[in-house]
Amino acid sequence: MKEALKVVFPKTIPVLIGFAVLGIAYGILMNEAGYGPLWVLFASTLFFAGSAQYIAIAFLAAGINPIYAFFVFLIVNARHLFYGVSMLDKYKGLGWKKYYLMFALIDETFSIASVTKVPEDVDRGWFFTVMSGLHHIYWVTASMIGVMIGQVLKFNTEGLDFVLTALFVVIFIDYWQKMSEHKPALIGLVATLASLVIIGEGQFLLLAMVSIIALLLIFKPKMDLEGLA
Amino acid sequence: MNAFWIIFGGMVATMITRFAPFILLSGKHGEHPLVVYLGKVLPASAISLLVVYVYKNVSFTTSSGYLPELIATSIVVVLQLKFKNSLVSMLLGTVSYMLLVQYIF
Repeated sequence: MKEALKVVFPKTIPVLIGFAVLGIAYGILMNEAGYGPLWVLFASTLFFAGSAQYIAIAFLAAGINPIYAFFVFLIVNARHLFYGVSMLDKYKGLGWKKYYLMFALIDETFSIASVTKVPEDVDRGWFFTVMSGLHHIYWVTASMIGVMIGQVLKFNTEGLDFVLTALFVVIFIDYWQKMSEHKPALIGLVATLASLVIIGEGQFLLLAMVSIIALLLIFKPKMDLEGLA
Repeated sequence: MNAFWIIFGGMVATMITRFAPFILLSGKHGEHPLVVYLGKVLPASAISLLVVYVYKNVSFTTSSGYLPELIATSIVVVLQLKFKNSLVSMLLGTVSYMLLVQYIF
């Protein structure tokens, strides 16, 4: 595990920084909604889904029906189905660690792990477990710092949730620059935008995901698989 | 108590979406050429979906419905392309956005 820690830690620094901003913001917003340290600890440790956790803040504040909330979370998190498919190979045969890896497969871990090659002299199981574990620790710690800052400092937090948008834009740019084959990215954009326009904010994600799969299959013959990270 | 069920529901929904592919696609299923292909192309599409998702509330009927997002996003993009430092891009982009929605729009 120690070798894995040495090799993996530097790779997690961007997430450490990103989560410092995203997690602290989340903690502050949760506190403002009236949900203190225990709630944040519960959510960040066991729910552990950044964008859905942000959406949950609005639900908590509005006292939304938990069953409705559950279905929204399913749809918003449905992209994890995509991630799981992509990581099947890398997470294969790792024993108990695989369960933690599956549980902890967040956007950020996926975007790094899916394009990282495990070094020869490092145990693959520990490599990925340390990576996921560090991200988890960063997220919980940052959220807790946020909720405590929120209890001490009062300031106008309107617009703070833009940090999540900024994160995804940055990841998108990163992916775009890493890959020479841009069709999957463009398909994602076009299909989701079209679904948003057709269905409206409410339930467009389901249509978006179905159309993405359909378009990816249609364009399969024309995809340059070497040009993907 | 409602709050507890919302977060609990979030935990369960998330676990379902994270475990499902591994449970449904273990063994032979996971080696099917289509599954392998989707595994390679889905990441980029997924990130694009997320990017559109976070802008879903943007509206073009009034300038305050889209200008703050447009300006702040441009700042994020320019900073990221120029300095490749995600912290700087995210922080400055978010601060600009907050200033724009709080004081200008």
